[in-house]
Amino acid sequence: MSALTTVANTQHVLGSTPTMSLSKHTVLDGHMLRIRNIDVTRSDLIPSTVIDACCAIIQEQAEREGSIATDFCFFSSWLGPLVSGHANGRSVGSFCEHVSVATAQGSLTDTAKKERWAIPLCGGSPPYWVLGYVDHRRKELGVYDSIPELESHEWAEPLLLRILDGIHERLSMPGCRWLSSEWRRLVKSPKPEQRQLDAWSCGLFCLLAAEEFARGTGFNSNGNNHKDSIRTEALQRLLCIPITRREAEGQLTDNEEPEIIEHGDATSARRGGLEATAQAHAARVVW
Amino acid sequence: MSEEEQTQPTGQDVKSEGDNAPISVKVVSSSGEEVFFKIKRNTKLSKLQGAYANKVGKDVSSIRFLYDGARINDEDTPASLDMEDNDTIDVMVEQVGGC
Repeated sequence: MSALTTVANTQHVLGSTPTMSLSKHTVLDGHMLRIRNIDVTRSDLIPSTVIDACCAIIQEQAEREGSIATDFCFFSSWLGPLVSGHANGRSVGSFCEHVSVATAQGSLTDTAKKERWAIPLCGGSPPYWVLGYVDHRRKELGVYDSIPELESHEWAEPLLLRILDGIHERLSMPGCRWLSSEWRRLVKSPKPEQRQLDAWSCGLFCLLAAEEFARGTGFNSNGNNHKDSIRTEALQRLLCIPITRREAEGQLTDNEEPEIIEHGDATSARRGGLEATAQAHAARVVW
Repeated sequence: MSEEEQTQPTGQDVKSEGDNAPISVKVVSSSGEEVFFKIKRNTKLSKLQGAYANKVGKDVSSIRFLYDGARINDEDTPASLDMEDNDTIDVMVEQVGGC
């Protein structure tokens, strides 16, 4: 989170980088930011683990405390890559697994009773977070987009519909004709003065939208002015997640580097330090 | 042939290593690509994670490593996770969006 804090205070770092000379033909890489000697890259931005965890916590709090609406649930952001074939179940969990854990009890019946569903979606180029949602009672589905000018609904809505079809199938619910006139398909975004003005905070806006979705208050009240508070809340939420693993006691460790070895030649590979980096280039690796 | 004999790769570094004998581990990405490592049982898997990230050209913080479906901690070792020779570690690359 420290990197995020740094970025938060430096919206115009690119233009002020002292070592960079800019001409009118310069093309800037929006994913590499710099302050002092700190390069902040896209990998320091909010990843799916944080977004999914925060959404799950929001939902659990609502269900536990009953302080806000409980007619909703969040599904994992991995449903998108799973339905589009960009991830496999072995590494990120299967589609069915993710649907099963969408409610605290893991009951598909409970999930099917929820009228409102939301799914964080990451896509586009450059990658960008939006929040897809459906409200079965109001027959409304849509995408919350913090920069609607990017028209991310063009990739997000088809992805959302594929996910929704998959969830309906998993929950043995009848299919819906999403594209028919009985369903309203919307793009929601903050008021113009509250929209995302930087090139990094779409994940925070996605969390902001998740909060508003949970409250059932619509998506128009908050935006750019609330980024700091949503970041703080996200950190506080994550720090409250229970610890579930015991620390290994009295575990012996050594400092040896692993070695990348040739495929199918595990027993005969030479041992050694991570001069293996050099060896790695020579190693035949199956890709 | 004993386990010790099987894991002595060359004559220059022959010594008994007992429970800390190296094992072979396969790291498999979500698209099925495989990288093979040899790592001692008491070596922290964070070393392997760093080497893998370096190998594939990604930031290690954007990669999640899973063994038997559970996320691997920096302090874990093959021994602490009861890993065996030729076990598989699955890799999950985070979705990261920043506009």
